[in-house]
Amino acid sequence: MQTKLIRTTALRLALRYALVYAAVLASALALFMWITRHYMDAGLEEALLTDAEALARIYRDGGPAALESVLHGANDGTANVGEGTVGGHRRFFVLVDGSGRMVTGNLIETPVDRNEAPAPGEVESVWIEEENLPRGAFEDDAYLPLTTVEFDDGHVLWLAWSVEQQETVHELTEYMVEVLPPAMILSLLMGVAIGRHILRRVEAISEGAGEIMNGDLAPRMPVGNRGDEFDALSARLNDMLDQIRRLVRGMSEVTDNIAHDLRGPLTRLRNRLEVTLLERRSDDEYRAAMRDCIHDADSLIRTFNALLAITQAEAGSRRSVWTRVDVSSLARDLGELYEPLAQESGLAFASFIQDDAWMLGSRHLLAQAVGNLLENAIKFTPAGGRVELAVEATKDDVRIRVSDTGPGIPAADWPRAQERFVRLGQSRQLPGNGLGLSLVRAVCRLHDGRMERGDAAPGLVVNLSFARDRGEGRTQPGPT
Amino acid sequence: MHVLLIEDDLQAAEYLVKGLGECGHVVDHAATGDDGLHLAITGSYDVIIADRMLPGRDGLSIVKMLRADDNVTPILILSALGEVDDRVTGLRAGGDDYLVKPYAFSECLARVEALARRHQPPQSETVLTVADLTIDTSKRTVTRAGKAIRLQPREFMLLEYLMRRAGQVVTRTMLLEQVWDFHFDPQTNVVDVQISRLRSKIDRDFDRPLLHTIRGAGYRLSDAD
Repeated sequence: MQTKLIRTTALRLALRYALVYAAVLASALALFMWITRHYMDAGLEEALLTDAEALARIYRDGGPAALESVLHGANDGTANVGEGTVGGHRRFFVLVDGSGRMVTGNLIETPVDRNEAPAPGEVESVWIEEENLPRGAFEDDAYLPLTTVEFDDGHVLWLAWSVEQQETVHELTEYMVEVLPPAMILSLLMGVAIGRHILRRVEAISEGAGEIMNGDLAPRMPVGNRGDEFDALSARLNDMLDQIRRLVRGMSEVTDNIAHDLRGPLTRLRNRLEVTLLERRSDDEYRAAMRDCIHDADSLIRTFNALLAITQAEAGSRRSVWTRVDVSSLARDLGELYEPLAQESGLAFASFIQDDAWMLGSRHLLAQAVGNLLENAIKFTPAGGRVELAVEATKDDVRIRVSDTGPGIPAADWPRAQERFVRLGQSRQLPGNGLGLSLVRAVCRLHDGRMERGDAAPGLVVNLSFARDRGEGRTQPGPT
Repeated sequence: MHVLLIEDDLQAAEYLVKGLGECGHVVDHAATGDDGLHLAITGSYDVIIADRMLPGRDGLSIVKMLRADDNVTPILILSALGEVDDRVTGLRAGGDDYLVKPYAFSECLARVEALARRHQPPQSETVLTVADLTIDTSKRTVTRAGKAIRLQPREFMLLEYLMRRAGQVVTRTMLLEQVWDFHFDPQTNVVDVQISRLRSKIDRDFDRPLLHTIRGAGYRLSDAD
């Protein structure tokens, strides 16, 4: 299933990023504007008030005419000159009489209503629109500092100054507004590019999976040399595929072997029953025949169970319920269990078990594995021989060793001996199903351990080694 | 003994009903989880056998509901799930024993009978006697006909297990599970050898045998034959 670029998460993320960027930019702008609106240099405030006070004095001394001439440009020799700038600030003013009629001024009208005006001695930042401002003044609507002066005769002078910062704000706003769309487009384009790149990597993996789903277990996911997350994913998937392939192969092996090796006992069972029915027999004969059949059936069931145990071990199920296993105690229990049997078979049995050998795993499976090794040792060693069980704990490892003085297994035969249902040489005469070693191998693999063969000259030595656990894992529940 | 069997496999159920019936037990059979739960709540049974996989309500949920209802009837859980960890889950849910399919009928029978008579003697009972054989679990002593017998620790555990289930059949699997905590199927007769060791200590030099081998099933410690 091809993913369209438009639906990729990468693109969606890029869109979201672009929106966030725009929002941040817009709010930065708004913040800036808000700050400048409310920003009032304290010096500026004072200067404006001083100017207002100076103008008030002129009015009180010389009446509206004097004020007018000052404001409209006559140079009266005082510190403040006319309509030019006052320290860089242009004056915008209007003088109204008691009834609100305009007397003189360069503002078109009063900037705000009388009741909203700043009180005398106070300065407020007031929004003054472009239309209200005189020609040639600052072009746009702006916030300007405004104050009022009230005279005894009811006249009111409204005085505002132009503020240089307003220019800067406007320029900046324009700049930002111009920059924003290209920035968003750029961000979007980047998102598209990223999306396409990721899509390509993901599709490569997806295609690989498609091939595999068609039944071909051979191909593997492409792993580049970037070492990035996609390579890691591919490597992981490849591991998974190796595992699956092993399992599938294992399963087909099992079915092959079941067909081959279990057909014999099943046929025997059936034949026994059929033959028994051929003639009339005594009750005792029937009973005997039935008991034999039960015996055959039991051994078949045991074989099936052993197979199941192996495949379960190989499937690696249940790793999540692994606990800390005390291998020392386990080995002691196993030694205790098998010693009488060894002695009964005329064998000497000895154990050398070190303490504190803990590992992470399944006690059940480990018991079964070591039990299998002990049983093999006891079974194949003729009377007068010796079986040994040892557990060693080194700094990093837990090692389990089972050795005997029996016929042993030649190195050349060792790999085959680990296969299912393989019975080598004289072992074919002895009871058993040939699954013991293959279970041990499966359990070893499952626990990431090693299984090695040694020559006791004479006899077989099997060494299992696993990583030692020193940690704080969960301990196993006790016997039920 | 009154047994409730909750099993949806009709053939397996018929077989169990017949087998248990011939051993003198009365068996009620329910083929679905809900029917089984209903019977369990409204009836009174000595043992309940519940298959784990059932249509509708599954075996474990039946066990949990019964336990939540303060029902202490012993329950044997049957299951095709064989891993030891599944066993632990089943027992934690409130089951008393767990048997994996395919099982031998004798195994099932032995466990059912063991569960039904679980209540005698109580775990707190420290001195157990069968005929002239006595075991004191707090003093860790064993005597027969007045004579002290020395046992290894594991032999002691084995004898204690048998004596607590005196008169009942105990299978090799039960012994391996309960006395050694091993859950695998040995390919050798390990358990037999252990039993014969024990026998040589507690039976051989005395007037009558108490530890009997029950062919096809297991062992039984009892005065009768």
